[in-house]
Amino acid sequence: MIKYFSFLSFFLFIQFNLLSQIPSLGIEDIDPSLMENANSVVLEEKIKVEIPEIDKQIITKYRAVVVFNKNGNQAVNAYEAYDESIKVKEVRLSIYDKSGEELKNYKKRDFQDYSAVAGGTLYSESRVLVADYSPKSYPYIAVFESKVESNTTAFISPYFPVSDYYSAIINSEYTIGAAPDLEIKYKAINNDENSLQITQTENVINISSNNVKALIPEDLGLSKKKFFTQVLFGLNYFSLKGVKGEGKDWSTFGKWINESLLAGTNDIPETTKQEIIDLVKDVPTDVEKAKLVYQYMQDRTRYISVQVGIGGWKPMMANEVDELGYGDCKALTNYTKALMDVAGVQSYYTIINASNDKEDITENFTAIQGNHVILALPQNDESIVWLECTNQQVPFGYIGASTDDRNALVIKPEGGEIIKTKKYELNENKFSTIGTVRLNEEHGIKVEAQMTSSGVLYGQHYGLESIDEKDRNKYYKNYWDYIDNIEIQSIEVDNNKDQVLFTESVVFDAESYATEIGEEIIVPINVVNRSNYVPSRYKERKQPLVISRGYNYQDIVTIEIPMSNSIKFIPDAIRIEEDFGKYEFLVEKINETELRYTRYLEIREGIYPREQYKNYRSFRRKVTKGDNQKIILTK
Amino acid sequence: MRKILVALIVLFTVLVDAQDFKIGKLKTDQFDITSNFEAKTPAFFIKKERFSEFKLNDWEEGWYAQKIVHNIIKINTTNGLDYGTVTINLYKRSADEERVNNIEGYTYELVDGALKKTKLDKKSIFKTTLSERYDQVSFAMPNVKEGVIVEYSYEVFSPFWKIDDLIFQEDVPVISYKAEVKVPEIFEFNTYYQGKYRCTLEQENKRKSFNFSFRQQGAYGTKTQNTRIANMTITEAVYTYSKQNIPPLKEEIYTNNLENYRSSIIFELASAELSQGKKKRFATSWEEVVQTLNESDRFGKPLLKTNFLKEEGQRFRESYPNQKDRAYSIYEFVKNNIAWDGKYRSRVDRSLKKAFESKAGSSAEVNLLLVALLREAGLTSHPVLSATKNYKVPIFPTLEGFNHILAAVALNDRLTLLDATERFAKPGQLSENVHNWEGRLVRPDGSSQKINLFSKKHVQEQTLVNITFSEDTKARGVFKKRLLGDNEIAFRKKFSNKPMATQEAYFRDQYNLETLTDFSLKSDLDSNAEISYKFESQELLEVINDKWYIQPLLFLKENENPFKASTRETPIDFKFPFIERKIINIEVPKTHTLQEIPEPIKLLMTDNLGEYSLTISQNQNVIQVMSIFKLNRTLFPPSEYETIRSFYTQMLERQTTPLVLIKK
Repeated sequence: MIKYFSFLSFFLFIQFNLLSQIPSLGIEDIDPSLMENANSVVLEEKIKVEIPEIDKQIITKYRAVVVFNKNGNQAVNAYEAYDESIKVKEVRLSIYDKSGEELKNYKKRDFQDYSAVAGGTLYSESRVLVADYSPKSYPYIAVFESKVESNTTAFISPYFPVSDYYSAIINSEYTIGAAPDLEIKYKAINNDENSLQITQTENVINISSNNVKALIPEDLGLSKKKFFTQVLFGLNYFSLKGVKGEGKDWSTFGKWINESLLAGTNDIPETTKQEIIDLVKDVPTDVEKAKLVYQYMQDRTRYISVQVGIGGWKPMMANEVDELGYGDCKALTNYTKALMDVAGVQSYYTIINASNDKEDITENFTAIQGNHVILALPQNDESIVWLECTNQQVPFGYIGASTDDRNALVIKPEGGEIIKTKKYELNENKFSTIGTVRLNEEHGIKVEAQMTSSGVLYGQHYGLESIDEKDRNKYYKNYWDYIDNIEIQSIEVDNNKDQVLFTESVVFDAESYATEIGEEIIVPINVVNRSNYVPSRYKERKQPLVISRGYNYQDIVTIEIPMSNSIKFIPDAIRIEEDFGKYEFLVEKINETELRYTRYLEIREGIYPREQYKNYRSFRRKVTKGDNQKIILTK
Repeated sequence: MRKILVALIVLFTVLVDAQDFKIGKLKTDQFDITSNFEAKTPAFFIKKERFSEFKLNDWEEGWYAQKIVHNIIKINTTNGLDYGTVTINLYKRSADEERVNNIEGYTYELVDGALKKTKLDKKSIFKTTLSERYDQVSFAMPNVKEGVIVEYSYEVFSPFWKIDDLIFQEDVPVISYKAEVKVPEIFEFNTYYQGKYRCTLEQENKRKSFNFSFRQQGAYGTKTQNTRIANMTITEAVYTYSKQNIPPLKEEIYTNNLENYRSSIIFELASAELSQGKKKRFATSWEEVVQTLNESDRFGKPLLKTNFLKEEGQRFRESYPNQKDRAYSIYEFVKNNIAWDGKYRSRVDRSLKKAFESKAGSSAEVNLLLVALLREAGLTSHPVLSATKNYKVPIFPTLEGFNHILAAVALNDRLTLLDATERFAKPGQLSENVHNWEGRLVRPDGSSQKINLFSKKHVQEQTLVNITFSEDTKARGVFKKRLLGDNEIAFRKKFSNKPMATQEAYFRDQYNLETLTDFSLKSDLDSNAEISYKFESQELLEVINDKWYIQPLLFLKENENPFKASTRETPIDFKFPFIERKIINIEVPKTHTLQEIPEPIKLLMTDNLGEYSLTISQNQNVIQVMSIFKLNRTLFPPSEYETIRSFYTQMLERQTTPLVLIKK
């Protein structure tokens, strides 16, 4: 009972209407150290979230930001998204000049109303209210205020004190209160420097953050989600567009997904059922069956997203996917699972973050997470085969860089479980080039190159199989952009889906490859795989060196020179090894008219201390230098 | 009542119209058709058909345009699956809006030689309100996968008297294109081709008789609910366009807006004669375009109501007796006081007074305000209609061909063009986006003048590098670069107001320099765009077999030939005619000298279109390299591609031949 009262008083305290407050701070109050690298500075931000009932969430925002230049405009963020379940009660934007005089004022009716249909989406009820302000001079101050009410409490926007690069903050505050029986929880992430002041009383959490300098994105650094300080929030009892749910831990959360979102969506029409039964009837093992079912699904579906109501969370019915032949990731995964059920192969619906940055589902914080769904096939040896169901071309069990090596939420009938997806190791991520280069008397070359990629690298190459001749030509001319005058003679590709190997065989000619100066002919030796990549330099590197995946590249190339020439100079062997990688380049003379070079480049996965970044740059410089070595011939 | 009537009319139309094509009757032999262009093309149109005509069903509703689209598309690879999803954008303005009807579709699949047909379900059709002006109807065809054929048709009713462009070139091949356009005698349209390909045209006139409803007028002109049916007979011109095997349009480098090169036929309404003898002309000649514009509330008339600027004009008149100073300060005044809202418009959406008071406006509002103020200040100024590069090529006398207005002011008997939407332009400078074909200067007396908007002036880039190599092969040097001309705008846009660290990092990364110090960048309007810095590098010299090899242009050489493709479909756009001057002074230790001094080189393009020269000289231990690249035109037709490509090849070959230094 006491709890209840304190809860009530909390709401009396934070309820306020939009006042169109003029910010108490002005541009002159900004400490010069905060202006460093800042395109914008948040003077003051106040976000209040109230959750008085399981199906009511009220979010009030106030944000005053100084914008110094065009790139800072995005920090104004003058928009609110809405749909059937989210109502924008109030929204307002006021613009002041640097001396605090009001220039412009947008009330709700002045905001533009747009459909928020993203690419690849056929229909979505998501809409957005946006104020289009076109600044005529800088700096200016924008004050954005809004009040939004939602019947969904499964989602509580996380708190990012600093929301983007090149933006500093002076004062930012986030307050959240929820009815006690909903059991609110939070988790601060990337708060190593303790820049957040957090106080929790009963059911109210107050977090503030002051005087934070602007961050700069860095090459080979951490992703925003792994670098920016943020706080996640969740409820143990919540509502998702009218569907009540609970999630104390992953097990109960998983059970809820199963019962409320997945149950009853897996009916398959009889004809399809029969086709699947016939398809797998004499197949001995589950893996073989699963392969056939996966192929069946790939052959008759495509990815289209339709987001209506709870459909944003609940998969479209399997029999509807069967009928229409399309669906989004949830629908296609759920359909595949339904087909696997018919074939008698066990599989689990799995929620994951799709991104190249290996973003985990945060293991010790149970709440709705993830942006993608894949299918897990448990194997006898307790390993798991992961299936991407939105791609018609990938081999069975291939997930590639978008969902590899990260925590995913696997929904088993008995509940949810966090499991790490497949990791592609250095040895597996291999790119090998075998080639022959024939130099002619006119200094032109004829090149035959065969390149094979596997592992994560397979995913970057197999698309070459399905593009037309013109685009392929373009691709190779850009791949070897350091060679002018390329005339492609032939291109053949072989996509070995069973072994997940992609092989490209290319033959091309190029005139005037070598340069004649006086009696000498200078020939850049590495014709087919030259790296010119050196990461950017930073005066003061802030982030560690992040290499997300290991790779290895192996080249063996034979060079034939004209009989009339003789070899005057070949470069010395290079061998460099560092913590993060290895590079070897060796040129050998086979006979008077034949040379062979072998090149090996290995990059090792890891998060290395920031001091190593400098060494990595120097390593890549040496690689570039090694790859640009020349041999000298005489006439 | 009105709504019910509309619904009835639609039904009526459907019943009366015998469709000129059949849908849902595809034969298996259509699966034998292959594209002659590319085996791996994602998809191809077996048939692309359009039927356009004008209809009058109800006198009060008036004439409207009806468009029927009918496509048959083979999905050839999985990359073509998106051709099974269709989106239709519908325009609306106040109470008038376009509508879609009769969406019908089938997906055909060949299963063991038998045709399997699936019908598009109504629940796969969605309507979304995109914005205040546009709705969107979209649908996804069922069972779309590699190897199927999709067929769909729909009708669009438009209360706006327009015939949408006949687009017969797609991103994938079109095997057979056909369009039938029926124009009743009361309308006149001008047609224009865009792009490389042409259709064959057949034309005939037909008599057409039809019924329409009207409401009988009551006594004294009052309206009654009595709907009567009347009959009308008119002559209709029937144009049939057709073309077989149209290759796909593909992205090429050095183009501005690819859509400008998509082969299509554009229709522009020239006149309408709704009741006999009362012909309303829209545009057929420049005289008529100008007349329409001068009489328009959204163009000519606002320029007559400029009393609110009188005082302001007087102020400038008094403060700046010199006309040029006056014009330039008015230009700065408008730039600094009226914010451009980012929208290109060729006509205003509200009065100039309102725009002036709200201190913001579209490009038409900003620059008509500029014209008005220049006039109020006693200068001769006129608006110039123009089309920006991301809009289209304005190839004919038209209202719709333009999306922007510039201000022209007469100074010392010469016209200076001003664009107050471009904050980073000095008076007379125009951004790349505005340098597009021709504009039209419009005078109040009804006369007009063609204005060439391609830049005639070369933009200049001057780079000076003084570099010193020490005996340990390390180099230190000074870099200076200056831009002159309209290229300064893009430079200022890129660097103005950016944190110093960002600017510095950009130049360090640009040439991969190890250290960069004493950095200075000028991007303000009062000076030329300039950069200078000191640098150090270890990568600029290669020692092979005891000899030193230095690239004559150091890091300033072109790294690759941008023109890699062997053929070219669209014109090559260099943005501006230009002169690039690079002077490099290389100081080497006294111990080293050039093995031999390379011969000077001069490459000339035919017809004086361009030239390149590279001169290398040695004075004691200083080697001077001078490289001048000059191009005299902005736009080159595809027929000149080979000339340009081989010119680049030769230039690159010379630039990358290293200097060889030996020990004395």
